[in-house]
Amino acid sequence: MRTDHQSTDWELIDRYGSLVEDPVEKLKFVQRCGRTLPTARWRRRAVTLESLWLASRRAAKELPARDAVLLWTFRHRQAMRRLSSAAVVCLLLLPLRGVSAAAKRRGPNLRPSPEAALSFDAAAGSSRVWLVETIGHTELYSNGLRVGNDLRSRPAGTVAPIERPVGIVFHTTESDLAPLEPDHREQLRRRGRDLLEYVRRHRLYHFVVDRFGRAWRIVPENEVAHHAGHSVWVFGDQVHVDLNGSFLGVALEAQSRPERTPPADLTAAQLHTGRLLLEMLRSRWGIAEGNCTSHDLVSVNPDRMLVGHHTDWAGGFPYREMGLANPYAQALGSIARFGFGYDEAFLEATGGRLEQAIRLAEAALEQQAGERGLSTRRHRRQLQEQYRRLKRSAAAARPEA
Amino acid sequence: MSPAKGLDIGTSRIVVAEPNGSHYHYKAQLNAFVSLPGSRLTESGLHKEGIPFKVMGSELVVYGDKADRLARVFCGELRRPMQKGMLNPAESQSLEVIEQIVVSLCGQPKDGERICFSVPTPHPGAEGNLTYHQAALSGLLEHLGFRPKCVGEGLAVVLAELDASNYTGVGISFGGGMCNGCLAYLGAPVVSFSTTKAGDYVDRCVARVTGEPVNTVRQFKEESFNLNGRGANVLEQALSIYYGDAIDAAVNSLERALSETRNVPKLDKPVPVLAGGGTAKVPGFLPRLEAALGRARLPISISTVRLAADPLNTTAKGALRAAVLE
Repeated sequence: MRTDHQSTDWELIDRYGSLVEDPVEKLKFVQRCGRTLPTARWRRRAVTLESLWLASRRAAKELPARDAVLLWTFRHRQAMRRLSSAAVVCLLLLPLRGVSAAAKRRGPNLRPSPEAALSFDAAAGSSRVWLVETIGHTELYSNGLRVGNDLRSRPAGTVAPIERPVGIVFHTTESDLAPLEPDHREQLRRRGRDLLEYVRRHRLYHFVVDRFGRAWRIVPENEVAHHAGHSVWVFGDQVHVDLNGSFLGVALEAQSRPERTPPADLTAAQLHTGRLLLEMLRSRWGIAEGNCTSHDLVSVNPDRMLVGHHTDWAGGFPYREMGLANPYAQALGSIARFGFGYDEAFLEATGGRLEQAIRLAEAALEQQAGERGLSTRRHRRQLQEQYRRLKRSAAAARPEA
Repeated sequence: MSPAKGLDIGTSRIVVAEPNGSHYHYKAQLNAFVSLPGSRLTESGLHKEGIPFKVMGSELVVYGDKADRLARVFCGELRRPMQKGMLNPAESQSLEVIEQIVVSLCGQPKDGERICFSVPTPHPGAEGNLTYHQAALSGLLEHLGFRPKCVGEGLAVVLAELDASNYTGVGISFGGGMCNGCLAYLGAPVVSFSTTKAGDYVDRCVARVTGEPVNTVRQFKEESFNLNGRGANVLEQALSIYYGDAIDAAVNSLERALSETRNVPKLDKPVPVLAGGGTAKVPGFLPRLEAALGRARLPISISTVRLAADPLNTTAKGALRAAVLE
């Protein structure tokens, strides 16, 4: 059995190992660092230092420059702490030695300047996000995101895997909401708990952000969650059909009401966490901005070949607030690429907010038909047939669940 | 990346994994053969059909996937170069057949190409057999021009897919001849274990108690059996029983290995369990394994139990990762 000291060393290697993303590099790293630690104290210390040195070098190689600075700070935290303590002691002792007030003012200022704080925040906003530590069931990420793993769903049977997520679909839970007021504390708590339990039981989303801005991991990112159903998303040359197998599902506890603006009443805490979660997932899985979308844009009904089988967000997902380009102003891919239609119910359920996306898509469809010398109707039928073929082949290639 | 290959030499299949950009490319052949009486007519027939064979003495030996088809056509016996995870002592041509299959899968090695092949964990009392098995395969690959090294099959499963947990966790390969597992900590094997109750054991036992031919049992198992359901007929009931037995044996083996090992690291967080291999592909396998692990008294706690993304190729993928480590 290893001693507690050794366990700490291994824990460090484990933690640093999480920073390396490439699987083979990670394997090289953990194996090199993870040699059996000798029992003699000085040799053990030497090996630990070597492990740490190797760890930080490898991690620094993997990280962009600004993160390497943070890593350097983390590595030298003990020295910096000692330096800070020494400086504080000096400051306290100086008056006793009769040093003038002017000299005191010239003493070292250990607090970061507002400018420094600002530049740090700006860098953090665009930097890579990594796992800092796991305390109990909670993961802390470098951008401040905390993800709870207490409610992770354990599959009842074989789980279909996701090799590597390529996108994110945002949902609203469309659950009953209690007023966000202190008098409704118990009601809020109960509804939140029941919702999470339901989502967990049915493995509906990978993450849920509750009304207080807490992020919960329900389904691990490498397993399929049942969030998008029949769905289509087109981004540039990429065409994705039935997104459960390749997109992550993130739900915000909210309800869409098409008659209101914005249609989903999100709390500031939810928006903040949603943004941090988006940042973490994009950083972790290298997800393109254009593959971050909302359920109202992707859901389709293949039986009737209509868009908008589900309309959560009702055309009001806060793309701008989440730091994303707004796809509501672009042609709807399911219509332009696969000839889906739409009906009045869809326009009504989205409060008319998707009219522009539909108009652009219909125009693109007509143009394509003209270029091919076909009537729009015939071209649409051909595209729909293409969709059915693609769906059949996707179903055949899908791993067993 | 310098050239490297991962080779899973299993009792029922041989799989090779090669890097293909940021992905992996796999090729597989059945690890089996049939021998036909040698004649010019048969030889030219095989040539014409593009069936790979090798003349061995007075016999024509057809190997790989085509051997199965020929065995069915001629109602001949499909022979195995390996048995219970090791070279089959009853087959004198086993090494030559494996060589032919490896050549057909791997082709000519590039200069100094590394290859890492999987070896089973010997069950108690059979350690000597592993020495021979490992040395013989290593010599064969060296003779072909590769730079061989070997990796335990259980560890290969860990290396293949447990990168998210820094290669800490339990990997179990439920193969045809054997079930091999390993608890690894940061990519280093801590405890390895194995049982011979695997796919072939299930087929054999079910065939014996139901009176059905082994091939019928295997075909039914691969095509329509679901371990979730209640056995509607005798065949399903027997399969369910023997599958349960094989799973319990694997979990007991893990439990025993952990209890007998003194240097189990102090793990402060639960570890994942990953199941690979063709036997684990049966629907309903995972809940049974999960239940068996839940019943076992293990000194480690389990976070998740999951099936490998590509169970048939997991070991080869792990072997490839081990090969590129140097």
